[in-house]
Amino acid sequence: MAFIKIENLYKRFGNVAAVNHIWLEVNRGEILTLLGPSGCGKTTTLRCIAGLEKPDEGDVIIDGQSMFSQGFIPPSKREIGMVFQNYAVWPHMRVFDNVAYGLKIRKLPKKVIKKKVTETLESLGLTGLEGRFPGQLSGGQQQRVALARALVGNPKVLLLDEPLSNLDAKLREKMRFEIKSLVRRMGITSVYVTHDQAEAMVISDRVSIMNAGDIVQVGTPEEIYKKPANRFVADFIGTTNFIAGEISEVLRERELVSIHTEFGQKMLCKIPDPAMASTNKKVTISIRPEDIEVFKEPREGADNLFKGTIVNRAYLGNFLYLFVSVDHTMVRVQAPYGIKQKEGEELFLFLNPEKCIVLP
Amino acid sequence: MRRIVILLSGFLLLLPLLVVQVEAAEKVGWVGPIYKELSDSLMKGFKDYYKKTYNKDIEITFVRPGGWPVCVDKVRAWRGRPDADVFLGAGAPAFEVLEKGGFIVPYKPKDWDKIPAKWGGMKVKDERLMWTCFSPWIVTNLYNEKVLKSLRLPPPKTWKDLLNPIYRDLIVQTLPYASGTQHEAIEIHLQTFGEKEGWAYNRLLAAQLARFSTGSTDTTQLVARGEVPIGVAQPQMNAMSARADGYPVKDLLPDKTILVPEAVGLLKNAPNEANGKIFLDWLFSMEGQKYVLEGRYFPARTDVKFSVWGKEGVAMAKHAQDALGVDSFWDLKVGFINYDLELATKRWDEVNRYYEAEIYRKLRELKSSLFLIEEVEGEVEVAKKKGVDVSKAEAKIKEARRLFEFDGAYATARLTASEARALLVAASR
Amino acid sequence: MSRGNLFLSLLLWLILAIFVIYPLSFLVIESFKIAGTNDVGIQNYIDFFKDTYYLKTFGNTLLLALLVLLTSTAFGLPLAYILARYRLKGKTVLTALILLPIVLPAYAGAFAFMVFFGKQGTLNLLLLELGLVSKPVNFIFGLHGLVFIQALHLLPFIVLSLSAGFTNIDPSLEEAAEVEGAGGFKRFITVTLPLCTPNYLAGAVIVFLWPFTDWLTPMIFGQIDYLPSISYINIAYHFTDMYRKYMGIVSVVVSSVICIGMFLISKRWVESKKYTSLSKGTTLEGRIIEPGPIKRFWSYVYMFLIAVLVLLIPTVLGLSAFSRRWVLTPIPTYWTLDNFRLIFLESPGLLKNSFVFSGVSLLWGVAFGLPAAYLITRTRVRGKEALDFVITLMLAFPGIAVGVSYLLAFWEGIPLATHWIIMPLSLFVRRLPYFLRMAHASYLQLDVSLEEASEISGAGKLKTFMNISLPLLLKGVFVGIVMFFIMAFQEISTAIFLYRGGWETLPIGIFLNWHRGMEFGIAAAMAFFMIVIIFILLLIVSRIGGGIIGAAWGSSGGRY
Repeated sequence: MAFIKIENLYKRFGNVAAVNHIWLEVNRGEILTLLGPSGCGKTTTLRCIAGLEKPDEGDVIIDGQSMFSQGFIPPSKREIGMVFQNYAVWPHMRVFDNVAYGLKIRKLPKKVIKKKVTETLESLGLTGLEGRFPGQLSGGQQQRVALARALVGNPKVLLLDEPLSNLDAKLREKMRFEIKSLVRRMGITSVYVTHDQAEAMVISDRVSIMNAGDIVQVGTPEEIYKKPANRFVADFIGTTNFIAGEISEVLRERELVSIHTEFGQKMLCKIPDPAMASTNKKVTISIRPEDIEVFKEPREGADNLFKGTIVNRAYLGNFLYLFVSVDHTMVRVQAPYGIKQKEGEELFLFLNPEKCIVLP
Repeated sequence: MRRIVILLSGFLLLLPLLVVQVEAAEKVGWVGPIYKELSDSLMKGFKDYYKKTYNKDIEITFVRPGGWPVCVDKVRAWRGRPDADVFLGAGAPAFEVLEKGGFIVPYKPKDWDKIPAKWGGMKVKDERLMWTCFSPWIVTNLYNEKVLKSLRLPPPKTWKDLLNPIYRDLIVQTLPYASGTQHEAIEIHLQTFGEKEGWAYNRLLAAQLARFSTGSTDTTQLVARGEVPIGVAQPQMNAMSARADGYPVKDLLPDKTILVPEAVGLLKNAPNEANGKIFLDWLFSMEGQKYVLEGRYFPARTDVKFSVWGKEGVAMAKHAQDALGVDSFWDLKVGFINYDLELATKRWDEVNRYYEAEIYRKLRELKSSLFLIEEVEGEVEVAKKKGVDVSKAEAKIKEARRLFEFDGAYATARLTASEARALLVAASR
Repeated sequence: MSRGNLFLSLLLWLILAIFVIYPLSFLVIESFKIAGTNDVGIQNYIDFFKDTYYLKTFGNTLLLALLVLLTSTAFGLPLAYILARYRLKGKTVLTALILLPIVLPAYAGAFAFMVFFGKQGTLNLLLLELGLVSKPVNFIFGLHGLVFIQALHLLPFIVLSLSAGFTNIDPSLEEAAEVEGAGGFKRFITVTLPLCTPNYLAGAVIVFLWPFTDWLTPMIFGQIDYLPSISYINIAYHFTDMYRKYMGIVSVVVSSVICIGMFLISKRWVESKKYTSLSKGTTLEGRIIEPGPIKRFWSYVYMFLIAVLVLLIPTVLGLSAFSRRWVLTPIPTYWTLDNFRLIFLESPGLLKNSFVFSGVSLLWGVAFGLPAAYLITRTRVRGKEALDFVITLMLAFPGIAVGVSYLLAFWEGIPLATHWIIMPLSLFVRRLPYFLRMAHASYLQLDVSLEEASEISGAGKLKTFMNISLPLLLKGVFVGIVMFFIMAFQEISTAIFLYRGGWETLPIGIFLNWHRGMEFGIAAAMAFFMIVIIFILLLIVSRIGGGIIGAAWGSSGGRY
């Protein structure tokens, strides 16, 4: 059930369309991440949901209520919570007052405010810091204050604008799970903006990938990883190998295509979409390093088996990471620890047709 | 909270509008360039008089936005709805302008007859009653006794004395448009020496100056402080005032000068006309005139004797007697010129403009030209004594001086002077 | 563009239209009038640009402005750094001291320097007596003296704005440079200074424009060939010569246009380097360093030297205040309390006027300046640049021009000039840019997300402003308020045109008493009195806020 609907949203800064007529739905209670490189329009989209920016066209509908088209609803009336990248905790207010601010604005009774703030602070492990000024807190603590402030009023929607980017790696990892479980528990519909794909994978129910003002693909983290819609998504999410080629033959009965690749050899791949299967079409094959199998010896009659030379061999603890040159094309391979070949030695790569993704 | 803030700030913003000025029953307003000393003295005297006579307090407002041209401009800015009743101070030219603009109306103060009609060829009161002099003074110069003594220089007696090289860089004056007195001084030069010679004189005087001051009071202060020992074009009472304060300053009555009748007039549409008239009557009474003197201005009535006043306890009477050397202002013996007021008024702006354009703005050029001429003249003199035939060079350098003094052609004069030097060199060979 | 912003903007425009555009248009119209006729045309302007004399005065003024800016920066930079960064005892008092010159009307300071540095001044008399010189040395008459006195007068603007900059820099930015291997001085040049540019320019513009509007100081030093002085003389002393008056107004208009042009360039430059650091709002008091003994020593020496120069003004004024006929002797010979007796008879009224006028204008200034700064920095309301432009226009207009145009505009028609309200009004209009600049600069440094967070929390624009922006801006705004007040307190060139009997302020009192015979003592006593009042005010403020800079920039230990 769509709780937030973004309809045909368009926002221009100068001559650049920051958000280019996008459509998006966020379901009740889910965490949706807007993921993309900087400048892709994800923060602008978030700020339109918050009402901090006004779109040039289109509308945002939250819980069935239009935010723009039937008169502008200011941020203060949207019942949202937001966590800013730089926390934006007010330096002149104590922790308690920072968190209580929204409740005081709503003129709740003092007792209720006290109770709610104390509870929220407790759930974020900030008990005892109520009387401090933000300047006396660590970055992580300020982050939690910002989060507490956003959550204390039980908002309809929680918006998070790269909330973890200013934290150190360890803390960041910890906070990912913490935010996720907290938001889950409270069941708040959340939109999370980040440029960190690992963070997006961990935290989201669904991910919406944006590029240059457009939404490129929406799906669960698994869908996005396994079935990237195009080269941009495949590249942005995780690591992959791209092999350029041209479809030379369509083997309909096996649901395969034969592709003439830049290796100068033919390669069989599963067709994701029958519409794409036409001969002479230029395509890109994407295959993840962990999907490539490695053999020491050639195997007679096997398809998609290529000979290559190890250029670089790195030990990453539980597996090996190899850079293999196949006819001058560099292929990244994640190999089991048992491979003994040294740099400069030869081996054979098997690119399983089932796992080769053909991208337009 | 919010409501309180809004109410409070609204109140604060509007506060000034709520304050109602307490209106005094009786008022009178003066505008004019008189010094603070005089305005203070007159305020005190007139308030006492008003209380004594009408058994009522009077509130006096006095506005002095600057020198008298500024005051005239102020009246003009009021555009016939004056914020004062009386224009107090300034000489005849100011009142001519005020009359032309229709800003003043005639009034005959009670003791009008006690003021002379003319003195030294100058009108002291207007027969059409537009203005009447309440305090006369003479355009004088000023020097610092102590500094001149330390420089072992005699005080200059005449206008021509000021051109003596011994006073070079020891004289200060202001620009004619910054001070009416300075303007009058130049007018004196023009009318005494003749127009051409008058300008020649001013060119030569400009080369003597240490600097220009910003106004006649500035000149007085520079001299009193000793920064520059001689000041040109001063109201006569400035020296008296400074001396009364203990400064080693004396006025120099030049050989030729004029009277400036510091006058008063009633403004048209005066808001408190009746009180304005009462003030004018009082100003010319014996009592009012005493307050004029205590305000360090000379009294204008013919029947004033400083010696008598001194005995009556008028503190400034002694200083006035010292400064003037006589018992009444009108006893002064002064070398007056036949001042052509009409001509002076007509060319007022023209004189100022000419001075500014031809002397002030070209001062650097003027000095370099004159100094070269003087140098070459010296060389000619030396050569003459050596028996060299200098007739050609002498003629040339005379031409240069003429070009400098009468034509104000500084560049050509300079060129001619160098030609004279070349001729001299040729003759010496 | 929300309706509220639009409404606010219209309101501000209305106020500007009545109190800036309407009166100034009179002035512009005046500049096109042709003397002796009823015609209008550009003849005056053609004459102006053809006349080499006006070009010369313009060149002089430009040179003066540059030299003043360079000098005050050269002296102000180390001072600002010391005040902002070093932990030193007595900083509060020294800070209050360096604020002194702007408290005084420029001419009172100029006169004090004349008494001390003049040809027959204390210094020369002493040197002559000691036989160190045989002829009086010309210390101050001329360009060098003018640069000296104006640079000292304007030093506080540079010091305040620079030390605000130094305090506001995120320490990590400097530490980053340190890590990169930039040594002390290099780091200062490459990181610290560039980061301060926006703050510096806010002060530098005021300093640079000052010589274009100060007519009196050059005149006191016998230098008339500067644009504002010549404008003043032309306007004030034109008498019947309307041509002269129009030329004066033309030069006012021209110099205003030039000033505005220069202001716009600097503004564009500032905005092109808007460094809002991400962690803004969380930094506290910047880097405060415990200086080593050598640095500490030289810092004290330096501050002491500046303080001596600054203190010379109140000292000389004080000596004059307690004496009479002090000339031709190094120190006064005749001591008296007469001057004070005289001023206490007339000063209570002047003092009351000064406080009421400055106070009322300050209220208006804040009520107008903060919303204006908000509109300019925080919204996309159409015409906000123009708003900024028009307000700043006043910075470039000499006081005399404001005085003249106010009289032209508000005597008939809208007869405001008959009510004393005209006094605070003119002060408000003249000093508004100073406040707006400070509020603007503080707004630029206030991270917008702090305000957005409040709106998200359910607070409307007004509440957000009251609860979040205002308290956080207060540091910068406070300095703006102090500056506004003292600038209003010492204003004279407009007031002298507008005052009526009974509306005299303390500076007008000083000016009038200056013309009281030869006796400078009374004027000096008033000026001295004024310094004492302001200094006490500053000390009270600094006591409450824990140091001027501390109060202004919120460095007081535990609070933030």
